Amino acid sequence: MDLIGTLPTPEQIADYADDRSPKKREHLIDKLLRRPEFIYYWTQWWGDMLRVERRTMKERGVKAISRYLRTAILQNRPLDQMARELLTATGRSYDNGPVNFYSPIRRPQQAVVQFSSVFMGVRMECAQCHNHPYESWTQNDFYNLAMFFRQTRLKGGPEKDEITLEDLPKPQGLRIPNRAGNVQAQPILPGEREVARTSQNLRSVLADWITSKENPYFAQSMANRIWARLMGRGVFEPLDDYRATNPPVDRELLQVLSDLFVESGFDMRALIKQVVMSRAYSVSSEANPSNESDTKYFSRYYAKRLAAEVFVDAVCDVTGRRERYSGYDPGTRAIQLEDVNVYSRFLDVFNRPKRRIVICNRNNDPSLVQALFLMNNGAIHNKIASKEGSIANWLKVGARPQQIVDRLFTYCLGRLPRAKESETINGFLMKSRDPKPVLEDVLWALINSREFQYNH
Amino acid sequence: MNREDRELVRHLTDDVWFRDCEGWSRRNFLKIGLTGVLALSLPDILQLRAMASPIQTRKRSVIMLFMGGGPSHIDTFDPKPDAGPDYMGPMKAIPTNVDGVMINEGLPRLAQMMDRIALVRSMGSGENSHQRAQHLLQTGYTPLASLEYPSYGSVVARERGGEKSLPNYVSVYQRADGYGPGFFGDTYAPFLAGDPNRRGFKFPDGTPPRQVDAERMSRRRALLRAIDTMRRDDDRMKALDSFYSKAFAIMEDPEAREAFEISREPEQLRERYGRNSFGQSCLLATRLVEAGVDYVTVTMQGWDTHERNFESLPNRLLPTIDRAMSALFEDLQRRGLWDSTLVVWTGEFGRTPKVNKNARPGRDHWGAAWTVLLAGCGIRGGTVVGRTDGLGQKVVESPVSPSSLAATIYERIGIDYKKYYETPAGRPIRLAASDPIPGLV
Repeated sequence: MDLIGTLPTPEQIADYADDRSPKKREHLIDKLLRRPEFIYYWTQWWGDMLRVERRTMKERGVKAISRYLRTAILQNRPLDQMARELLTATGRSYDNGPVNFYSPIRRPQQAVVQFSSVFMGVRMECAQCHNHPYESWTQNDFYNLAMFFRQTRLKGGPEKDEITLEDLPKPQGLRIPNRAGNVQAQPILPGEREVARTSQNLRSVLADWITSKENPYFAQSMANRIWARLMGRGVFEPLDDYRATNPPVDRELLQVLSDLFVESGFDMRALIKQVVMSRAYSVSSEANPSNESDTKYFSRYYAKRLAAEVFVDAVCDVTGRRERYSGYDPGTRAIQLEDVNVYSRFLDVFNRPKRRIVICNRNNDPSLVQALFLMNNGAIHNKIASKEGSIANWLKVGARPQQIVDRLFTYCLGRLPRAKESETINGFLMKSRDPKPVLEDVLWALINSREFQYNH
Repeated sequence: MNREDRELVRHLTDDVWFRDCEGWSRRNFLKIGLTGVLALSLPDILQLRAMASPIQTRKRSVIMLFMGGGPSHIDTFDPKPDAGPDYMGPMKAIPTNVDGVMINEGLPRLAQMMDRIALVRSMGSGENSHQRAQHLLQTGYTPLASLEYPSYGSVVARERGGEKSLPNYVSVYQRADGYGPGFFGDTYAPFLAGDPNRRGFKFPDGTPPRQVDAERMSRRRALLRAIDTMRRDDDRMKALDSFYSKAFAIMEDPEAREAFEISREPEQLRERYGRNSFGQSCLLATRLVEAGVDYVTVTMQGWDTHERNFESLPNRLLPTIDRAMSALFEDLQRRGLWDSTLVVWTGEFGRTPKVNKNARPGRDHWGAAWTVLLAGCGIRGGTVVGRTDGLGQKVVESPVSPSSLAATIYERIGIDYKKYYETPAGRPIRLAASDPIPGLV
């Protein structure tokens, strides 16, 4: 589920249980890393970071960047290379996907905020207006960094609402505000003193700097984001707020992750594999007296609430009834949607992110509206009770009610019913002449249970 | 939720919200009034309602009427009759029942209520983008690329909290940017109600689908209790529990759901508000406040009149708000809610005082000056705070900012606007960055 955002089917669970190989865990992971769902699920991860949505990128820009991201993930393109492609893109946003890195951006200052948040894991925007009260970033640093985006022109067109990026022979000037006189920003890299002297375009200089193996920010920030997506919490949080006064919970862990990532050549699949093979990942989520109060040191696995798209897909899978999304083929899964503005009340109720601000922290918090929606909404009931739904289909092929209960439990929770659960369910089955409504109510209860709504 | 919890919820709701000082449940009284004596006329019923409202114990609520797109101040509450047609277009100003105060001719009913309303004609922010300005007007802060501030409604929800079955914060019909919980998280998000003018509008998902009868529902709950035994090790999991408890409480509390059923209101009253989305949303807001909701936002989009300003306003927008808001003010008074309900009317900015040169003329964004209307909850009627210059371009007297509006709202309903909250990054933020607008009470 963490790798491909998709529930395993009862068959896949049974195959895995039957596999006698001592390396079965590793084999499974390798298999999952090659699944097409992996590509969609991690395209969505990039989509959150890059704010892929049609209000800023327009439909054709969304398509272009989504195509780019899927191809890159399919080819397992190293993340440093992707960062460079996104940062230095030129040309038209409807043709060249990476240009859309700049679609939500209109000024070099905004480019700094996006660049530092996504690739450095650092928040720079406070320094835009003042020297940061606690941190080392100064307003000069901010504007000097902004200079690296001043040798590029962003213009509208050629098609309606499209943007085109064009590198210039010479950088344009940039004044630092709130300074007496006319203080011009200089292209100086963060943490350095010297003006970058180069014949290259300044964006390439910046890309060289951020993706170099010695750069402390890039590997650490990307590794932390990957860790957080798998573990439910970053080694530092928020994911783009690394600073001395917000230290990582485990400096050594962050260093190890970061080193592994550099050694692998910024190979995303390799890092994912290492994390999910780790002991930290496979520890139990059940708290014991010694780690009950731990919410950040990884002494136990933190149960994660499923993200909107994953949850909606899971409900569709277990009920056997898909959602329809306007403009997409029937059968499209929510994790495949490129744009977050595609209408779906179900996704919105479960807090699909809007991708409007740079730090697209997903909010998987529960709400009253969600509880009512899952319990009472007619569309959910129709999925559960559908004549073409999973329960109806299993009954049609002659499955016994107990078999169906086992299947529902396995699909929803990855386990069989416990004795007490079976007792309650069988009691109701016995009292009812028609098993179908009872089975529907079991599925309803499964979907509404925390065990289903959380990955643990 | 187990039986004890349910009892507790019921006990709390009974005691705090639905019983007045004499021990009568106001709602029961109302029921007698409405169903027992069918021959009562509308004014009688409203009179009964007013009597049924507990005066001393009523907690204070807010109805925010948010005009998305930004209405022109000149074409609403700050006309400039001497500025000529380049500024006024074809519109005229009319006198009100407060000496010396003129408003646009499209608002005749409100003109006759000006003695109950306060106008702040000196609001300004300099923010001219819809998204940022809307965020600013619903949170009191200019949004940062990295931080979403909580809306006033979410702050009120967090401050009031409580175990009642009704949500604290409801957003009706349309929405403008900044209405959400921001960094507070979804526990404090508004409950989103749809368009109450739609036929069959009711509390969304408040009851099981029709195929699921009471017996089935109790089976479902028994199954859920049996299956949902996973340990609650996480705050969010505990939050999920609280939402399920609340959901069950709402399902069992027809009165909470009935607050959403405006079809229960007399037909004449529904007409009085106007049979359109905004009118019915205002009526719903009244019902919700009456039932105990703390903060209701009604958003009306359509004020971004770069073109056809002088068609949209006189023909559609102004008559709609004139009708609905005058009905709202009357109704709040009749129901005895006037002194406990703060009504705020604002857009995200004003519009260019000078009419633009478009083929079908309109007005563009103007963050430098506009008018905010406030009423109820101790606001002194007939007050006008601040002034713009003769062309409506600049604030020339008592300038105020959106953050002082924020402070006014919090102060009026008894929330300490000087209180600090911490952002997830640990930065302290004061609920409102300024002090309340002076001269309103």
